[in-house]
Amino acid sequence: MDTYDKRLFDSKMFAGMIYSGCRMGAWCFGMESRKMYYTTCPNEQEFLMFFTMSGCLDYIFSEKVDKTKPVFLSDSLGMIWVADYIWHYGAPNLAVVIGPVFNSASSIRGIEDSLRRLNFSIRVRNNLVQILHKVPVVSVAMLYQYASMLHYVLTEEMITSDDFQFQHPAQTADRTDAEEVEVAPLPERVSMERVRTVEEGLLQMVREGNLNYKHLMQELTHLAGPDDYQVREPQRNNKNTMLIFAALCSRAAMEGGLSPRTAKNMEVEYITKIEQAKTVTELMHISENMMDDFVKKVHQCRSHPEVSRTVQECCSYIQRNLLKPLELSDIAKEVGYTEYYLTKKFYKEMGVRLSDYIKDSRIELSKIWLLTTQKSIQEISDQMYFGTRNYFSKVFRDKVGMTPAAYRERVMAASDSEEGRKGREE
Amino acid sequence: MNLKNKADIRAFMQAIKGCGGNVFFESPEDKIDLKSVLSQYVFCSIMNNKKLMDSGSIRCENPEDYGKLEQFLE
Repeated sequence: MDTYDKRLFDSKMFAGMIYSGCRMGAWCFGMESRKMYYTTCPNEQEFLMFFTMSGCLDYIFSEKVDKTKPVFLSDSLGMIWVADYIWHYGAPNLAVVIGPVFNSASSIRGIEDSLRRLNFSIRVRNNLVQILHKVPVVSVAMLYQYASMLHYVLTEEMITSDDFQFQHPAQTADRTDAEEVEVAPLPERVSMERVRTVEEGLLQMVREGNLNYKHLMQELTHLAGPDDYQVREPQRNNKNTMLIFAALCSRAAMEGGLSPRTAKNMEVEYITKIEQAKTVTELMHISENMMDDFVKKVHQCRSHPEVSRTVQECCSYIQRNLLKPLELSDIAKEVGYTEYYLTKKFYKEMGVRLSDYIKDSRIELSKIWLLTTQKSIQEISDQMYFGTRNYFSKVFRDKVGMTPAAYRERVMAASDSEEGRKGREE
Repeated sequence: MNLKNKADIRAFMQAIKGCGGNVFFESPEDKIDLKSVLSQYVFCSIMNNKKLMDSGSIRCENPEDYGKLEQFLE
């Protein structure tokens, strides 16, 4: 058996191994013919269509890809594939693709929610849902390992995550079905798909209380751009990034089972520290401690869970649907309890009323929007279902101690004053 | 009009992007907007289901868009 045949044989063996191990499919395409030679993926016609329609299939053949390294690809639904190549006579001859996978179970739940909104017949909706349920959920860290293994099988070369390539820019479409937040255009030099994947991986580690988060943290640090929010002062950018990450960590910790009170206190503590920090190195130190603290707290509490799975699911549902009306009856239906029992249970375990938890969560998201978008207070109030701008301002003042307008002004003024001081120092 | 059997789905979706109006797959039970990303996935998931596909047809909101999709429709 020559080297090429051996690698082809090994790739088939590897395909069988990953399918039997975690139900991850594998595919093999001819580079010249672009035809599929084999696959282990169930519903191969549908998944091949998804792969094709999203442009991922074209991408693996494109000139943009360095055919000596694995390339990560993803589509608009969040499905991820990894492609690598078998060479023959000095040229890439076959493309071997593993996937699709989701990197979080919440991806598929989000899709199901969106499908429910679109009012398709149950038959049509279930058709897609049943297919998507065949996609395994694999963490980013695990997928990196599978990509390294695939590369070794095809080339007998060891590789690290630094050598991976990522498809970018992310696909765009005329219109998506999800709610979108208007933000300033992002710099193209950073693959936002990659940042999002790593960020989601980190938040998943907070949810799981997974202490092996440091390599991902390092990667996110490498990826984060200093000017993501298009504001004038670099320190403000770092602070904004960290403020948002603190809020996300806090939410992820709650979803992981940490009591909202503890998570909230930690969030407030770190936000105060971040605002008071004077140097970038200080911010970096806080960032390290913050992630460590959240992960360890979740790790501890998962050993002694305080919040039931039902209430965690309830919190998770609320966080995913803050931009929808969020009727109590819908939430109760989602978690399979009566409204009466759910509200009692929620209060008992969380120490806060369900309606207050929704309001608090919306106020937290409003704070982020006030800081990072140009949305008017009326727009934010409308999108958060506060009814009227006055009521939104009242709730915001009760929770934050100032009106939304004052909050936005104060942050901007702090930014201007820091910039002015820096200018004088220069 | 119906989608041809061996139509290139990627090219079809690209062609829909170029249409001025909305393009739907309509059946007695469903109206799938083929310009919406998630709906495109829904459509792909039923393409191999002959019964579902036969129950509906492709309809363009703007009649002139049929010309842009001509090679994919029968």
